[in-house]
Amino acid sequence: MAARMAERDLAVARIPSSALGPSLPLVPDDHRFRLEFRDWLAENTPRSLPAVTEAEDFAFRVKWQKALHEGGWAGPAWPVRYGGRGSGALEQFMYYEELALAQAPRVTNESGILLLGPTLMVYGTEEQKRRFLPGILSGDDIWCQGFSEPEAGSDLASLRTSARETPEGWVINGQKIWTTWAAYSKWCFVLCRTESAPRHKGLSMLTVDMDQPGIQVRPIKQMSGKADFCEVFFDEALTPHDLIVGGRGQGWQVAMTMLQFERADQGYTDHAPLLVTLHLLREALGAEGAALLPRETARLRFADLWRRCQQLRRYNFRNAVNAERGRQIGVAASTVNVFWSQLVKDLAEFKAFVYPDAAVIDDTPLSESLLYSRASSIYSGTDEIQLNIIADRILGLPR
Amino acid sequence: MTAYEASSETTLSVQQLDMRTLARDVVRKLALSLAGLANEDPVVAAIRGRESLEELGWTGLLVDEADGGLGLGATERCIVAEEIGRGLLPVPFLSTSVACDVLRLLCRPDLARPRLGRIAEAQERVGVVAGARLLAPALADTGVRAAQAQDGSWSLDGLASLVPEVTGCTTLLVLATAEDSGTGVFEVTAPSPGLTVSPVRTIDLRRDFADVTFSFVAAERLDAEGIDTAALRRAEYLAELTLAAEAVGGALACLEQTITHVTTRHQFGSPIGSFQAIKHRLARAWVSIESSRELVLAAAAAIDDRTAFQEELAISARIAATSALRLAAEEAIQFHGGMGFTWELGVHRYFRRSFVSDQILSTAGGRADRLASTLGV
Repeated sequence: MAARMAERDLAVARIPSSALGPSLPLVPDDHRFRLEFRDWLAENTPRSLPAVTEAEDFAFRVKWQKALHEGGWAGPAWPVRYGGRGSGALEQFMYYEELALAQAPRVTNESGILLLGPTLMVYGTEEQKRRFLPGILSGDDIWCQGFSEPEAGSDLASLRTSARETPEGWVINGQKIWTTWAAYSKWCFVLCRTESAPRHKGLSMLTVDMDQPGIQVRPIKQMSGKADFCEVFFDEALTPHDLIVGGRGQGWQVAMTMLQFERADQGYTDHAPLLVTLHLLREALGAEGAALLPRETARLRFADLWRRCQQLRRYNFRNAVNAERGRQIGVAASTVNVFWSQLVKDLAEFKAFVYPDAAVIDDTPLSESLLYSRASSIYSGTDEIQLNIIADRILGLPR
Repeated sequence: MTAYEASSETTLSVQQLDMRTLARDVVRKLALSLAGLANEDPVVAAIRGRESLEELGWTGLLVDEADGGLGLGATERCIVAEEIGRGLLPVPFLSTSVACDVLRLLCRPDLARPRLGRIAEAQERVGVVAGARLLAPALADTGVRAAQAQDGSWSLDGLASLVPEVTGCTTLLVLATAEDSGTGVFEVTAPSPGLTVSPVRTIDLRRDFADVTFSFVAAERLDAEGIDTAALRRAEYLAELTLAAEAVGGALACLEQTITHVTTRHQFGSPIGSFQAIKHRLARAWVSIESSRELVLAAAAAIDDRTAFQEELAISARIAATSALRLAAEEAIQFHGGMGFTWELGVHRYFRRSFVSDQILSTAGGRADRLASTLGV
């Protein structure tokens, strides 16, 4: 019990920058961008996390999203004309580090802000941009991503959900799965089969209002006990003609552009929360309750994780520098992903090591994070797919 | 250029990339002439290797420009070490680097600077003797005792075993323990009465080792009667970083050779590199190597830019790179099948290097412990 209390109590003050490691060139600790955001976060970061129901938790995160938006800090990568800051990769690198150091709640509407928004800026019509972009950024319209299907996971191009054009609009039938936050989403962007052409040639991207009888959402209880993901069933669901993104048969191209945005984001943001967690665990190790832990094991495991987090941070930094210079991150994101996924699991286990009792109690943040960490090597591309990508596209091994 | 060649270009300057190209070219040529020697006799190879280093003018790479060297930083040091490690070149770059660090960081400037100049000019062949672990236990017990006579002169007595890269040296910088004034740096001329340098053949045939015994050997003290702990630690972690960079180079060589093999070797009608059992393991080896290489560069950048965490990053880099080399060497042997186990193919040399290097300067356990201590846990 004491350990659990301690963990919650720590989640208040800003973590010192040194928790991340050295000050890096191009993105130093005293960079103007950091200082500005740091000041804003000091004033605006909600200080207590209401650990209640999932719905309340989601509402809390939406509220946080709106606060970021009002402060001008939502979607830093978005161009200024769409309400963003026009930040390049290096500013984004700093943005996510500062968010983590402030122990801010996780941002929400990632599917909208990180995926659909930037994609609409490339492929959307003027009307689509005018209609959707403001609501995405403000958090008024929560979006979800309808890609994976029961029979189309890693092999996305084999998906079967179909849409046919009728005088009333597109009529959609099929099923999506692993759709994050679908239960709370107002809109979904759906990759579906509209043409008779095989595999990726026959796909289109449709945006669909979730609030209609033709759509049913069923949350999937995960092994962690929570239900972030859902199944989404389309039974004669309808969406207007003009809500297609990028034109008929262009769905694969649109989806690949979208995944590049996703990879770019993952390419330089994922080390900071890990280092902050590690910092908190280190403080916990110094606390009274930790006296019973095997000291030597604790310090060696801490050092090992710190070292690996530094490897990840440096790699992310390099990717951010590359992106800032207009180079594609592309396959480098796969290396990050493989390195990161094991680190997430090992960090969760170290957390359980530091809080041995609390970690086994059902329905605590600790036990949930331990269980949830098992997803790190599955979502956003399994380790096996990432290793294939590295082997084929970096090492040039024969297919 | 392969995709992975381009990977670390982002954070290096044009001059640094040129340096890499030059170093790679030089190493490739030298490797051809030195490799055969090393198979026969590591001592002969070491002597030829030292001459090669002098002919290239590379003994002065790390000596300040004011003292006649090129004054290169930690990043350049790592670039050169990586290429030397890639070619498993039997040249004493490690000991020359450490000698420069010991002189610069631990010795009186008025005594150090002329010696650094002579290293740069290749007038002296300098090695460092600090027990089997090079520097690490120096503060506690170096294994060599220094005694001062009535007239103020010093003499050394004791044994340092498994000392790397001292074959053919004309001068030895010895970390020795004086009864009253603690650990110091003592200079010994080789040969000298009472000094014995006995080559030891380790399983790493590309690096020379020797047991060095001192029986009341006349010595000159170069430090100001007491070594600053922080300076000694710095000399140590610079050496750790040099070994880390060397390991990364070796790991890349293993990976490249293995990729070539699995791409051309066919079984069951396909190149074996198309099988996922092999692809995935090589991809994991790549992740290990690439993330280690980045950490080496991060540590070097921290040292060059004088930011915080220099020691932590350097030790981390060594830990990461050591395991990357081990993994890459093991996979290289495995994926070459029966050929991988032959002497002829030669990938065993990287395994040998990885195993022996893991034990010099520091041990795996010692490094892990040191990192934790430096991080304050």
